[in-house]
Amino acid sequence: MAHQTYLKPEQVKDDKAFLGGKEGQIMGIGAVAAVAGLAGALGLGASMGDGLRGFWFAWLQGCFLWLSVALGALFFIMVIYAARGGWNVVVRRIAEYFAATLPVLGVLVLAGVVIGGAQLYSWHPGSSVELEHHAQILIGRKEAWLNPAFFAIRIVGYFAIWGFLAWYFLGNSLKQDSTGDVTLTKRMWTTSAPGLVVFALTLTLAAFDLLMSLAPTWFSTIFGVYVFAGCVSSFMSILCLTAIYLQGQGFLRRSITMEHYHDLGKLMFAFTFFWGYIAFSQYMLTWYANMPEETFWYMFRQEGGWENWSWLLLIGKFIIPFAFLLNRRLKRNKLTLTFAALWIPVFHWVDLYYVIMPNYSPEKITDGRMLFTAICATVFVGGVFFASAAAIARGKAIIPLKDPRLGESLRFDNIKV
Amino acid sequence: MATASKNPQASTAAAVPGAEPQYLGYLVEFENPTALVHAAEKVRDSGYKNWDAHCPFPVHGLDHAMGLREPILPWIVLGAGLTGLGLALLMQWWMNAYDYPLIVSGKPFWSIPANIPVMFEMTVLFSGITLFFGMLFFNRLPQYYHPVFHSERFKRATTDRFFISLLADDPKFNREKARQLAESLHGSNVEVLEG
Repeated sequence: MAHQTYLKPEQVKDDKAFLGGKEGQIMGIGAVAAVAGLAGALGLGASMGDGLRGFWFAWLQGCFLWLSVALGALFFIMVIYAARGGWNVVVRRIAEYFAATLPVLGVLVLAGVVIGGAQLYSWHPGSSVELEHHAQILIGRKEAWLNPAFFAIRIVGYFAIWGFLAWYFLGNSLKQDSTGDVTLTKRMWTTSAPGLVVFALTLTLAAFDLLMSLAPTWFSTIFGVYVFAGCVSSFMSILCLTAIYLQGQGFLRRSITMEHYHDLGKLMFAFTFFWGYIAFSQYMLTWYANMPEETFWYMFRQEGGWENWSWLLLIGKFIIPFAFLLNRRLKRNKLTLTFAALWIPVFHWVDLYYVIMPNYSPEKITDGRMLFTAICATVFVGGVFFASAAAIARGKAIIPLKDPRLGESLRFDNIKV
Repeated sequence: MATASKNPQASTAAAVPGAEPQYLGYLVEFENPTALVHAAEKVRDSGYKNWDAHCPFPVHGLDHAMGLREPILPWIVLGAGLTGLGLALLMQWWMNAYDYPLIVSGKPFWSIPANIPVMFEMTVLFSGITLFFGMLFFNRLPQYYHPVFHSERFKRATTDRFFISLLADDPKFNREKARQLAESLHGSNVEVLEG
């Protein structure tokens, strides 16, 4: 503590706090990745000869991975304000840029469910999936909620709310960069609490609509929380990776320290366990009650090759990162933390594949082409995501310059070993 | 409050009425945690073994400044947690599948999903108990006597003052050198502990 000199808040702007030309490079790489990914996904999707049905499933998968990161970012920002957090100020702006991409992701999701809706959702009147008699009756009862027009309106509504929240927090935070006005922070303390309530409701409904209604006769009230757990852990990981990348490029070298990484690692660990807890809660209640209208969802995932994917998910998304991140030293080492931060989003992707793809092919696990289509679609949306975040950050600081708690965050210190 | 090393046992405390007060060490007082951390680094580097820092709340960076080793307790807790996990599994296997097999809602005698909640709880129980008692053990708590209790000023250690105690039963304790060190710490007050 004594031998280390901490940056003062007013020195932060000289710690390479502006992307200064780097955003052009990120946008360029992002655009190339987006074009290549889209071309790859379209080419592979077309080659499957199913009228692009697989392509739209891959599109949903790709969108949802980056949507998870952006939603995790929005949650992180609001939790910081609601808890009046101090340590995380130095990484908050990166989260704000991630969350600000929500309107862009909204356009992609909306395009997917409007153009590809009939391919994706078997409740859609234009769907060619042949439903059993009882399923037709059940879906008929749900028509008031599950119809294309209301569905599209809801998607627009969710993204309007998220986009408003994301830009509200980014806008006020940017305003504070020039004015240093403390009342802005105080106002955000107040607004973040109802913001979190609205976020929880919209995220739950969006998870029901976009993912759960892929199997329209299935229901699980905990499903929104399940998706949320994956959102937060993968966001923490992508935030870690972004900060490590930026510091490697010379940005914010002294502003972000191992102490901040350690805490991000703790949150990655916490939400890994939270996901395991929620996933097991959902599984066990279904398993124990043994009701056919619930168990079929798991049956599809335990047969025809999907059982291997389920084991991969259990071991890769829960057991390995849990055991790995348990140790303090591994969270305080940039190399091992980078490994964990790469691992977790990859397995969130595996989780989304597990949720989405058995609806495409429940009898037998999808083949390699489907896998690569989904990878290409993920690269496409990832390119769009990072390019938009960099475009929003153009000419602006990548750290809150005049946040009243910036000094606290710069001096932040976990118990050292 | 972190313990740097072994503290004197009750034997040093038994002050005989009327006898010469026994010399127990030095108590240095500080007004803020920063001064305490700086001073702790100095004492750490001077090589004293039997000393401690006292503060009303956990001070970030103090463990490092005191030169405390990484605790072994987390590993013991891990072992306890795994023991709880294994015992819970064994117990449920023995009860449900071996000693008194019973069909419950058509499930196999030994159904892992049904066992997991108990495995989780037993892991938490074993870890928690081990952590709590391990913490007491490694901090040598409860401790009913400590030389600093002879100081009136030390009562503020639970409200708004920070202290370092250098104790006389350190094998390398030298009264003169200890006095010099205590005075070099720039504390707001230096006190001789007697009792």
